[in-house]
Amino acid sequence: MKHDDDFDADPMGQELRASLVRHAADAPRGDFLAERIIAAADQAGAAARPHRARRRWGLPLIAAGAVAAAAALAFVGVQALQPQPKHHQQPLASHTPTPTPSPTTTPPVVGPPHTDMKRVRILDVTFVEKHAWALASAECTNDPAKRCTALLQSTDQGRNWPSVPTQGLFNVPGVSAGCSTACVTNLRFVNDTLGYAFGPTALYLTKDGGATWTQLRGGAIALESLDKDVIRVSRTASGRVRVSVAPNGDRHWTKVPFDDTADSVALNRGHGASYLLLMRTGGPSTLYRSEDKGHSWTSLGEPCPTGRSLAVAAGNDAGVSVLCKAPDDTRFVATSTDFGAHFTAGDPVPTSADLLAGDPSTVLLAGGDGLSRSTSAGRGWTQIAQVTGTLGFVGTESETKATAVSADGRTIWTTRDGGRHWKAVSLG
Amino acid sequence: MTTRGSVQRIAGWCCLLLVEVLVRHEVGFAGFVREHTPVLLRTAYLMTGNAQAAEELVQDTFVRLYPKWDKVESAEVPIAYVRRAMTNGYINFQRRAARREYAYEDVPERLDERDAFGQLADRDQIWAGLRALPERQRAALVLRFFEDLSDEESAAALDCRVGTVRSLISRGLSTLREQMGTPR
Repeated sequence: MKHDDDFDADPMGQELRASLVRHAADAPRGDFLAERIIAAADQAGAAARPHRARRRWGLPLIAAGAVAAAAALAFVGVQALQPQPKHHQQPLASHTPTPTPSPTTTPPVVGPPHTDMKRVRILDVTFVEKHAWALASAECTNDPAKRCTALLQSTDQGRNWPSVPTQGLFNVPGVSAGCSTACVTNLRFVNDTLGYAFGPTALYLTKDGGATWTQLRGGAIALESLDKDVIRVSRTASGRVRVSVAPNGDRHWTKVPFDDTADSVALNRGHGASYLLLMRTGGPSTLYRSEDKGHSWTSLGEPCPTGRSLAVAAGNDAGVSVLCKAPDDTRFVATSTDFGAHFTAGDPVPTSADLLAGDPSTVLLAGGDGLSRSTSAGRGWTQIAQVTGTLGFVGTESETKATAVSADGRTIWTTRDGGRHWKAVSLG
Repeated sequence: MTTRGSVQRIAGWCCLLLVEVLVRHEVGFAGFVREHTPVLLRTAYLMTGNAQAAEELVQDTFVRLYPKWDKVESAEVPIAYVRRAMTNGYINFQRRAARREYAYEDVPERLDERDAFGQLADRDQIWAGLRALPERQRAALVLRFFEDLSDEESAAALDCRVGTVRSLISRGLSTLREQMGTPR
């Protein structure tokens, strides 16, 4: 938030801000409290508003019960009085309008183990030339019944992933210890030694390839480095988005003027420009562009010709793509070759698609139905047969190198020919 | 397809639809609580300076709002609505607590082991100084310098005018400055 007064410039205000941030880290985490509140609200609600509760909930409950009873009686009746041949019996659930869940598991990849850790679940991967790191949870080495935070490093272009000790400084979601210490969800490396691990309330810096980490103030919901500098996006409790920049590896960040709100964000950088997509539940998204390495941002409004955008992928030069969701729930990719000034809609894509990467000349689209590739600005798509199941991540490192990770975090796919052919490594 | 079969299917749909509607309301509240409790708890902790009091404040706020959750959900910014309720709850609680101090002569309970102000006073004068401020000034400073709220948003949370918020912040900073012996 940019305030238009001198309180922020007041040294005491600055010291107070730093003190509050430090002490906020001592606050209880609130995981158990949330469950306690939900239980308490149920009890208090039932006791405090019997009439209103009955008016709002009683009739539907009675109706639901009656309908359920009728359904049960009808079912019993049909079964007892008119037994149907087996091929006529169809379970009720098969007729209900509930969506079919997408498969979340991926086919096992046969081969020797590629890591010393067991039951690995990858949260994020980052590739830098021949090196790569993966942030994950895995079976604890000293207690197979528990799950621990794992950092894996590959030095052979993603074929093998030996573990690197994390010093226990941070945790990731899904580990047995919970997130009692600062929790990180993402990982970005700048080069072979310099990298960041971050989450909404925590940010760590390493300058020795992940061997040791230093905690920096605050957290990040998105962070991307390119060339010599890094852009960091964070969000206040009220949903206000903050952007700050720093030279790679510098502990001091410069807050840049930025004033908008979002429920979630996507940050993507190309050599032509950086793009920040702010997404809001139920409302239009806003795409911002920076051509000075994040120091200033220009709003481009909602980039999708219809509907709202769900993902952004910056290309090199003036190209940028967005994944759009139309009001009728159909999805398509819109591309721009003029730094986002104008977007052209492509062909419809699967409604399960929610991830986007690549230059408009070669776009990768991922989600619940594996991976698709377009070399015609989203107007024609080729399904990649080697990559199946639901994906949780897709990203490009260069015009030829890209990575995809299954949603269950067990399999990594890599390509070195612009997405034509992919190799899978199973860590699960 | 038999008539019984159709009735059976329709009944099933209706049943599932109604259950889904009922569950969705509950999930809305529960989802909000799970998502926002950690951040509200941090703000409450900075206001109260005490882990237990912070948890009580957040819990009381949600339980108080639960019967009118539809109103919260229909607010333009639901989290702002909840924050306002929590801030008011904090100020009112402090006032009640202050009155209670005069009403009883009991020996005060031992400080909460996680009494952050007590633990950290020696190494953070600002943090200790914050504790000595009147509750409205303290809340205004936390909303401004931690939540990063604008004057208008702070005014809404504190249920007062923008000018009052600026006055609270100014006086709060001034008091902290005096305690630290720092010239303006």
